[in-house]
Amino acid sequence: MPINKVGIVGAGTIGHQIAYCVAKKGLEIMFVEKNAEKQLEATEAINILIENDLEKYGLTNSEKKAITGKIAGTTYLDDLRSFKPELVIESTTEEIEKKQNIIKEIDRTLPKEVIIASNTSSLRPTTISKNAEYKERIIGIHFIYPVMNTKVAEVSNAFHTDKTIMNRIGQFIAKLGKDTIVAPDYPGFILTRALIPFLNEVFFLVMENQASRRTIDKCIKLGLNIPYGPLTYADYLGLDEILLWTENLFHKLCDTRFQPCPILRQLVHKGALGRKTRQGFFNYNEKGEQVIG
Amino acid sequence: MRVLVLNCGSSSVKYQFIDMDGEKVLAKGLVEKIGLHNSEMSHKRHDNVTYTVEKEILDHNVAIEMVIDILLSSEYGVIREKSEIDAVGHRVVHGGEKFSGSVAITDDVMKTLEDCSGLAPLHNPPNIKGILATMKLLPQAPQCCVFDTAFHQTMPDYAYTYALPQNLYRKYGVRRYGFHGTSHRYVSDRVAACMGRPYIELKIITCHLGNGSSIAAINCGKSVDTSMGFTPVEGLVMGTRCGDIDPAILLHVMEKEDLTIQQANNMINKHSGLYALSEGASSDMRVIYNDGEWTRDHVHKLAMEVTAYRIRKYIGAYAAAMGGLDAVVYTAGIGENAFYLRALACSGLEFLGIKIDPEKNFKASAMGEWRGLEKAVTTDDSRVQVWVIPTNEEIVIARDTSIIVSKNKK
Repeated sequence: MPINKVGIVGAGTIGHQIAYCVAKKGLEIMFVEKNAEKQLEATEAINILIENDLEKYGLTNSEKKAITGKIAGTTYLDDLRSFKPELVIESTTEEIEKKQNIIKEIDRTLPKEVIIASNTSSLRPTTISKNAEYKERIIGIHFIYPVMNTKVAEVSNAFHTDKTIMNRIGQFIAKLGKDTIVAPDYPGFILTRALIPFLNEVFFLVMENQASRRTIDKCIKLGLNIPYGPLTYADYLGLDEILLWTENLFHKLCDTRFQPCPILRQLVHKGALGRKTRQGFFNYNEKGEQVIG
Repeated sequence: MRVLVLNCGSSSVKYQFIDMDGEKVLAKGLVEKIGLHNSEMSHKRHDNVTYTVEKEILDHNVAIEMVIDILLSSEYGVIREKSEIDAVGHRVVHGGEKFSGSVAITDDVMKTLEDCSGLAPLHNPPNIKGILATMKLLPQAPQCCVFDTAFHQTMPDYAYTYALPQNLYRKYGVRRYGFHGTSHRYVSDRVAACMGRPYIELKIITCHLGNGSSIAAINCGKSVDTSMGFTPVEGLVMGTRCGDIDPAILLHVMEKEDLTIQQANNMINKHSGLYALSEGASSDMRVIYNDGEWTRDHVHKLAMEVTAYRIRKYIGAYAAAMGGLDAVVYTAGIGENAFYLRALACSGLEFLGIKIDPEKNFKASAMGEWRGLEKAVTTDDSRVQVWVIPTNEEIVIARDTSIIVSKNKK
């Protein structure tokens, strides 16, 4: 059975991007946020994606209308029951207990035929599904920021995952125009495991004042021929999320390569979480553009 | 012989069921939004009995199964047994350089079609899906494919070769292919019949103007040049496609606006043409015309003039390419109805021997009494005749299929 309706629980930095990408492919979306304020923020964030895409010729006006009509938001998880999705993607923060509880709640709310995917960067799907009753329908996906542009998603079976689910998720991801990378049921899968020590080392370069932040960012961006410098990328992702990923990997893998650089912790503690708070490694104006100087 | 003609798009299946004895359309219809839960099917029988339904149609297999079921239905159908479908003709967009005519489907043909998919990644795969589904559902019925590109395979090398590094041709098949071949072939053949002159003696320019538009030069029955090229973006101004531009514009804009390849592709395919010229007002020629008010609106006037000028330029070029001209044909939604565009495109071409008769030209339009008829719209003393001829790609597909199947039976 193909996937036509998708529920998304948590429409933050990555969740709202998943919602947009899925709706853009003609599927219906219902996203769930914890309160009305967050719901509004997510709706506005999706609208910004739509407007940006329109401005860059990625959409036509009629496609915009069609997409907008396919996205609904709610603050009640129970609403997903009447929405009748074939797939629910949980995309909340990377804190294991919170994730386990939300997955348990989704598992209780929806009939057992509905696939539940946990969008995770740094946690094991098996650990995430620990408290659920129907563990066989739970799988791990890692949608990579920025979801609109990245061409792959990592997918990982948990210990109990029904083996037929991978195939259906693979078809769903292909519909989004992405390749599926089957990743190990291990913290950080492939990408985060490689990314975190890299970012962490860049943060040390900043802390040691080896060069200006802008110089470091430019050197790595142009030197590696990648779309963003690592500090900009971290600001876009959210430094609080990166700190969580790093701590998760550090605790689970018990390896000092993943010990968070103190400057990351300092920035998070003072509330400089990146673009979303207009301050991180760089400063941002109200449009989210980096302020030079 | 009764032929089922299928045109399978990425999420749609158009069909006509034609009795070749008298070429009567027994039933036709459309299945849309395949793969979504709100797919639709609309069906019309020859006696105007109609049937519509909205339900989940998972894939092309299910869609074609529904088409067959409705043809068999006692209430809406026209046959009692599947075996009454004698043959199936498929429209296939791209035949590459391999096919210069319609062919019966064999394993080798299927393999070649797969090979051509890279040239038309949006169109050929659904065509192939449709063929595979039909093979499964109607194993007894021979199947044929009729290619949009085939008619233009007679173009000489100097017309289809781009002045680009030639290894791009060898590696990726980068050359002019042209599209709408079935339509250009049909209307050029018809105009010869209407003029009562042998097709193989005439120099004809055919203008297929629809949401996608192309123009072709047909010399002595053979396509010798056409405006669409490697893809259907080149050539005339279309609804949302730009047609001819300086290719360096694309690179310049991509750099300035930081566009991805997909965004740039969307820009030239979905955000350009009439839609862009009208500043986003519409991609529909009727809206630009605005009941004749277009001349008073600078934006709409420019949109109309750019579109007409491009057609006029091609007519001049193709008359030169053929060393003469006997007839110009207008066809498809805009070509058959937009009398104002025809008049504007042909204005100033009196030196070529084209004299439009305004009264006749208006009659052969959406508002005129000749709507849907094959009519000349030039004055009696016009040396070159301009005709309006409704296209009928389905009948070409059905005829080709019927000929191939009859020949193979022998």
